[in-house]
Amino acid sequence: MTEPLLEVEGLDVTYQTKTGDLRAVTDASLSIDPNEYFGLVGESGCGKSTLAQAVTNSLDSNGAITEGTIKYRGEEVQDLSEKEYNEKIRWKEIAVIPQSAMNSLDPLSRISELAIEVAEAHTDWSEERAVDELKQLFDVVGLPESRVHDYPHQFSGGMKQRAIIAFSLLLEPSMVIADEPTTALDVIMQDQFLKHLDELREIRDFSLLFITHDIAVVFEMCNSMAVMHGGQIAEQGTTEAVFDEPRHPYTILLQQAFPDIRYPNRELEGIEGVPPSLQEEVDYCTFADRCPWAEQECWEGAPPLETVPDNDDAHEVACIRNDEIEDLAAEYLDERDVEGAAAGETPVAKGASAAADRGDEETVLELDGLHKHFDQSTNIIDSIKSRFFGEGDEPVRAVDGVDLELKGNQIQGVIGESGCGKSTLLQTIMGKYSPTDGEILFDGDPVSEFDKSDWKEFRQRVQIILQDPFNTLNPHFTVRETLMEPLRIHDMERSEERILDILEQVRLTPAEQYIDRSESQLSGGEKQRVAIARALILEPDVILADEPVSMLDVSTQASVLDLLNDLTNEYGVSMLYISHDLSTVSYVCDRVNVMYLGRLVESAPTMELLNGAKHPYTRSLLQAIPVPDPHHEREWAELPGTPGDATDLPGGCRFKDRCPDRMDICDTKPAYVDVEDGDHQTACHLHYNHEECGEEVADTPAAAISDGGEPR
Amino acid sequence: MSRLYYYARRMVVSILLIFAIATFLFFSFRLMPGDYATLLLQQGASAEQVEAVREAWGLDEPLYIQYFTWMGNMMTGNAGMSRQFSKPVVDVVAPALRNSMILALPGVLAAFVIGSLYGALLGSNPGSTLEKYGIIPPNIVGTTPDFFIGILLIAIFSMSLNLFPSGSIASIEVVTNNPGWEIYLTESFWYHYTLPFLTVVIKYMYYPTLVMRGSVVEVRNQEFAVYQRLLGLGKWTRFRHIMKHASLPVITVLPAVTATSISGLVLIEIVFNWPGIGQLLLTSVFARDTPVIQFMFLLIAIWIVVGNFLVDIFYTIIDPRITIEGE
Repeated sequence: MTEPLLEVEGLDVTYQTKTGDLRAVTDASLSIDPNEYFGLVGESGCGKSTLAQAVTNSLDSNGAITEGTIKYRGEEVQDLSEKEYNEKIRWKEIAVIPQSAMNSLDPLSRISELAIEVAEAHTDWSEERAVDELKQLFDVVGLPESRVHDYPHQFSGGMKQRAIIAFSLLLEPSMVIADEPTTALDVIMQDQFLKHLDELREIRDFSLLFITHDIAVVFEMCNSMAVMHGGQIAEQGTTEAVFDEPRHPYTILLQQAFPDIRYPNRELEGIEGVPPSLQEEVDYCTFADRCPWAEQECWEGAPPLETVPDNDDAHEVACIRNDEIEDLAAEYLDERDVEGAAAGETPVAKGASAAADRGDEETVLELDGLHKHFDQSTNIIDSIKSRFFGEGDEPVRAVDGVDLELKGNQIQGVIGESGCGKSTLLQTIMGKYSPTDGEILFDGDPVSEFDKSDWKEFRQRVQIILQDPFNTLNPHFTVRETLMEPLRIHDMERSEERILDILEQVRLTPAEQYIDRSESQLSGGEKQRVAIARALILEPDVILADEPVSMLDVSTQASVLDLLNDLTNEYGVSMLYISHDLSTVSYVCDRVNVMYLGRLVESAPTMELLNGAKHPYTRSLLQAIPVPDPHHEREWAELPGTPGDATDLPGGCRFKDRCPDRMDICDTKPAYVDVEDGDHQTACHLHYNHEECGEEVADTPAAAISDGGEPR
Repeated sequence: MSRLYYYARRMVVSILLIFAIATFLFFSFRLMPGDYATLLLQQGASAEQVEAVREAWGLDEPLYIQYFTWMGNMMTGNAGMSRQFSKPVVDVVAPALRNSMILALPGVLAAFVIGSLYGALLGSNPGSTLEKYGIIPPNIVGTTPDFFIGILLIAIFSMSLNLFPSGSIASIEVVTNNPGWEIYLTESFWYHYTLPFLTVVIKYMYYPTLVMRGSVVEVRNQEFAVYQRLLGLGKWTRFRHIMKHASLPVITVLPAVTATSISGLVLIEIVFNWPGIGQLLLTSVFARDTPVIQFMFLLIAIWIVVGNFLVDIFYTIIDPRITIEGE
């Protein structure tokens, strides 16, 4: 057996805060072998980032290691001063990939300057050598060498991402720590990032500590993993062992909570409750409060990490009932399914049955050729130029001809990468922007002809749920005031019962306990529930939801999705649901629209889209979703580059530059959504009936565009 | 778009702006009730005499003709005659402006350099005792009237310690012997210069201190700065990166502050009996010496516009993103 590269033993990390000591990490032990990819999973606040900071000697000034050891290559490093650590370990041995690669490079310095500074800080390299090394790494991660002297703003997001990977390998470290590197990325960029990281294994020798809340990414990327809960390690082992035979209730429930694109019909089960406050002494199992199988014994002493007797020697779990948990879980899940079926709660098979049920409903909201363009120039000379001489810059075509029909009681999704125009679409419907062209019809009435009272009615009947639960509520309001305000504005009946009732509906129970809480006394998931209650209390006809769960932890995500699903059914509300993540969209939506560069490129009932996506872009989006199963070999989505520039659209099909199936016709003829196959519409030349159109088509697809330099 | 095109465009905008300001100044002065002729009337001149003065000065012409004449004169460097001194305006304003500039510009620049460094020092040590209490003196100074600082300095260094003179630009003999530039070379001038200079430095130091402190705190928490810490870059390398970002808002206000300081020196100049632009402005307003006032306002406006133009160019040198954003 090889000697482990990194060994953490019995690590305690404590932060001193104004309200007392916070024990962020308690008794954590793990070991990482050379060349191993190790995943550390857990929800926010579970201590996973603190653990990484302890390893990289970058804890905040109020945090300190109070117990335990960190051994790197057998040598204790936890007591090194910052200076000693910088000399011995930092970047030469352990490098870091930060959470936000987008903003991690100083915009005022050339990228090569940073390489020189890093080399200067840790080695005796000459400036030329530092730049040369960076050039080689640029080559490795697929960036053109000539661009090392660029400024960061000349790089696209994906290129910055790769530059950061290159930087982490600059001094050939034996270990790289990546702290939530994909959290802020959309699904396509995440896929590209993971692909590069995966390919690097073949080229360079290093171990990776991958910290994330996304269990699917860990199952895909890592050999071993640890699951953290409430500052402690709940379970660890090889990814296969943890996946096949999870022994900790948290791991089991986490797997249940995670959407899997292969099974869109599976019911997601959120994990109720929150981990205990780490400000108090926790001498019991941190999961006991949330665990369906907790016994009296679980509250008497924290469970130790015990080795699980299976074929993986390293598989350890901290649960006193780990030997019987398998049967308990199976029984519990079975029972729940039966109960659910009896109560009529089994999820409707999306698309297949639901759309049929809802097909004959009236159309509530209709978009007819909706355009929203933004002028680029704001300065006086340019506006004079364009007004009097007609020579202006091209506008940004954020939304460029969208047709959509939302029927009563229907949930439609709009998905696409960042920058495809989906948020602008939503804000234009809301009335934040007035459309450049086209019409929004609400109940058949054009919005453009609304007067003041019509707008007021519109604002009552159309509600919005925003992405960021942490800023969506007024911090000076209690829950009662938050929910009372819309009623007052729209002159509706204001009663305590009504508010209690709606709180029950969004499952904030007991409602009496929540009604007088202020914003700061609510968790992220609870805030989003209050936001949903605020939208529902006006009994709207349409809800516009802008990625309502993307900032929530997985355990909460599932229950909020579930809630949205149930409530829209119950209240008969229609919803337009916007996201970049097909796996959550497919879970709630009857019908999914795929948006690319301001236009819809495919639209179909959910199941049909998942099983038979026609547009190459949709296929790539589906391909890019990580599958939470270490046995599943997913192929990388071959979608080079970034969405084109909405000011300088290519002629012909907008997607052609990234399309693997590009044909000659794509260069000349734009593709519109007019290819209908029943309910399934696609804007792609592959699926036109070209004989009918009287067009000659070359039937050999052009070679895919190589993933080269990505011009800005 | 090339960098040169950007500079050219900024220059055109600046020149247009100066014209707009000059026009505005001209008309707003004409809109004010009463002119120099009415002042003569109050002093007992007869109606005919007033008419004669009006005619001689062209005040009976239509407004637009007056405007073009004035604009033409300004562009050829002829700012008219000062009524109170009966000398060309340029000759009246030039020495006063010189005296003020030599006080204000080095004073404000020194204040900005010292203030920024002090502010950066406070911002780099958030939560420390230094930061907690170090912010109090600039706050006190910032809210104290400038003349009070002057008086305080006089009381300490002039009255009690007898180190420096309490006023005037130089001793009487020196002033009479050196009417032009040469006065700045005399020892007596620098002796008299110290206290007013200190007053300006102290007065204008608080602003860059406060801005820089906030700016450094903000930049330190930006992701690139955190990343540089993780990279293990040296302390001074990181400080340099942070200063480059944090100094931008301070530099932005620099031309505006120098300009307001020139006109805002009135009280300091009076306390120290300094023959500068502030004193001149005050006497000119009382004497309704419109040509002088107008010309000084215009100079101040031009200084602000030119200063901003210089700052814009300076920006493109520090921040490579600026010209690109215009694309």
